[in-house]
Amino acid sequence: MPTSRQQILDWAADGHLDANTIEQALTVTQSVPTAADNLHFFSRVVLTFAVLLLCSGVIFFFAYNWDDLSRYNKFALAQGALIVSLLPLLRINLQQPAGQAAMFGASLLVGALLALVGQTYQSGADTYELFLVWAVLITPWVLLAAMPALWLLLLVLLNLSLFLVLENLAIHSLIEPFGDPSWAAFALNASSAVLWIISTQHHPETRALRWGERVISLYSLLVITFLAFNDINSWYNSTGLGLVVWLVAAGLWLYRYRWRTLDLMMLAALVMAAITVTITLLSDILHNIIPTDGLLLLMSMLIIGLSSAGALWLQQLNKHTTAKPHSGVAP
Amino acid sequence: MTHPLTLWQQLQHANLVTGEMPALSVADTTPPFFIRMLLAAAGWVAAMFFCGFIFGFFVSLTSETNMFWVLGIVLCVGSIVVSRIPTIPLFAEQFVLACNISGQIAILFSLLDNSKDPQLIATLMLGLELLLFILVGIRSQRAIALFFACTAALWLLGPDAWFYTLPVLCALSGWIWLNRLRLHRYAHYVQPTSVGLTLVLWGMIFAALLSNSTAFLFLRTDVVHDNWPTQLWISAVLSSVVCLVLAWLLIVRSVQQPKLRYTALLFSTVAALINLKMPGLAPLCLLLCIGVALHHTRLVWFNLVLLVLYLLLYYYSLNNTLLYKSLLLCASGAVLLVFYAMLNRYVRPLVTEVKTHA
Repeated sequence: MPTSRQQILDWAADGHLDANTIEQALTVTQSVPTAADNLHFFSRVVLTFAVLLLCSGVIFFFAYNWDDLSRYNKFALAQGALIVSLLPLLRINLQQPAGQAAMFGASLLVGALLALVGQTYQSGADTYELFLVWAVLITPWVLLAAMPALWLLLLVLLNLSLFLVLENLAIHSLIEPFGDPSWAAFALNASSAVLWIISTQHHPETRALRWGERVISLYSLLVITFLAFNDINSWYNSTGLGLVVWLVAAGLWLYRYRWRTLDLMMLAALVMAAITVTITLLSDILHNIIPTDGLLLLMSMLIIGLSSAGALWLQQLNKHTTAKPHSGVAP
Repeated sequence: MTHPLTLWQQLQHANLVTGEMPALSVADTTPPFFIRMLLAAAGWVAAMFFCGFIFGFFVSLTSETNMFWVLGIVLCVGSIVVSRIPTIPLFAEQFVLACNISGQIAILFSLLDNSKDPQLIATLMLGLELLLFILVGIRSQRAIALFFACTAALWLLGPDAWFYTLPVLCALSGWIWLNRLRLHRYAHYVQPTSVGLTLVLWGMIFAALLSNSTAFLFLRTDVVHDNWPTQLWISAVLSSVVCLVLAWLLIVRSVQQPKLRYTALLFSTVAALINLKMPGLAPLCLLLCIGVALHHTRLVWFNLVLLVLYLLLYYYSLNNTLLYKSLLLCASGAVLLVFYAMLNRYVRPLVTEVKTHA
């Protein structure tokens, strides 16, 4: 069954409803958010961008490295900006959007202050230290605020630190069988996803929580698919662990997003990853058996067949979902 | 989700429809966005493999590679015919996409191989894409055809005209989005047009930003002239004016309270002014606002992500010094904070009113 909005649009397209009255029809049937909802959402967007622009402005300012400004003035400015960003929290609590925006802004400005320290006292330290110290310093705020956006910022900083540690310290191989450095990224993000799921399971589901989980899980799936892809491409030199872990991750993914909670977007991502792994595996096995032309045709048809089958499965699940009464998600 | 019969009755009470509810279509509805994304991504990858097969097979049959265009036309015509079947299965739809893209690549390859005149190639490709836009029966492929048609048109017009395409694209896509519901009877063409034009507009905004940035200096080839900053500025002025006009149309249509109208107009003017120094920002903000007004979630979220991306890339823009950019960003942030405070004054009573009614 189509959504109310789609049904009205379909009637208009078929000529049963005057196209000039579509907006009125959508409002009358409450098929679209109210003006209050729109304004509420819009004010959140405006606040988010205000904080982002202000913090970017401060970061750009210190990146300019203005010689006319003494180092004491620069530090006074950076610390002043940090204090000013925290001032709203004296009056507004952390549950309100303005309080959350202030906390997020302050967390970004900690990075600007640390970058200024690095710029002023060039100690020859590795760049990963900046992101690691930044992550450590904002951790208490992250724990205190319990804000999905701040958790994601912390995870981004940890990922950056990890990437730079591996690069700065020229670590090209970890302990076997997890020799590929991407295993470290997978371990970090997969464990974060698991922690996220466990720690939020008793909270009321909100859009921010759901999207936070999606982002971390999708990144983990991307990394493990890349590892499986690498394993298949260097089949004779690899342990095949990437493929095994990919299969385990796919099983857990299905359990989580098919059986525990139905999330069609995440299942679509799994279908895409499964197609990638299957095609890579088959092309690796068949490339010495079938001529190139035939292999290309086979791969093309396989991708079309698998994606169509996957889409049909997802559409069926979608029909079952929409047929059941929808449980609302808090904004 | 309300049952169609209840919906119809609500519309009858509002005197928007008369008579019995029409029979519901038994055909499957459009799949959700993420399924379409999956199909599109898989379709493109399949097309690349299929293209490789077609080329390999054709070369094994004949050594006349300059006859690829015949193969391309056969593939395109075949895909048009299949796409016009009323209830086309999903598998066939994917196959049509693969054939269509392979056909276009074959024709382009053949044209590049046979002709040394870029203007002629661009004209022929423009004609082909427009034909595909009109004839293909699948909406997503119409959007792709329009995107490529615009790309061919840009190629035909040459680098000197690229600056002025930003305001033109902004006007066209903004106007179509604003009137999308009114033109819904022609949705088969209007929806792909709005999507295709928006994709080109986004592409132009980021191409302008990247080609004028320190991080992508390698892009600064023959596109960049001595009068680059002047042309960019003129383009920014024109796009600011276009955005302001479209914003006013949107405000008149969507904002009921007079005071909020003036606030919105003031904010639009500020955004148009900032656009002079940050070209491309106003069209993104405008599309975001249209998305909110039309309740088009994807348009809203894509524009939000692109605005964040714009901010990240703006760091590398060569237009101004970092100090200037810093001041501009801080000033814009402060304006937005003030705007937030003003918006909150309107939001609170409205939310309270809704809660009271509930």
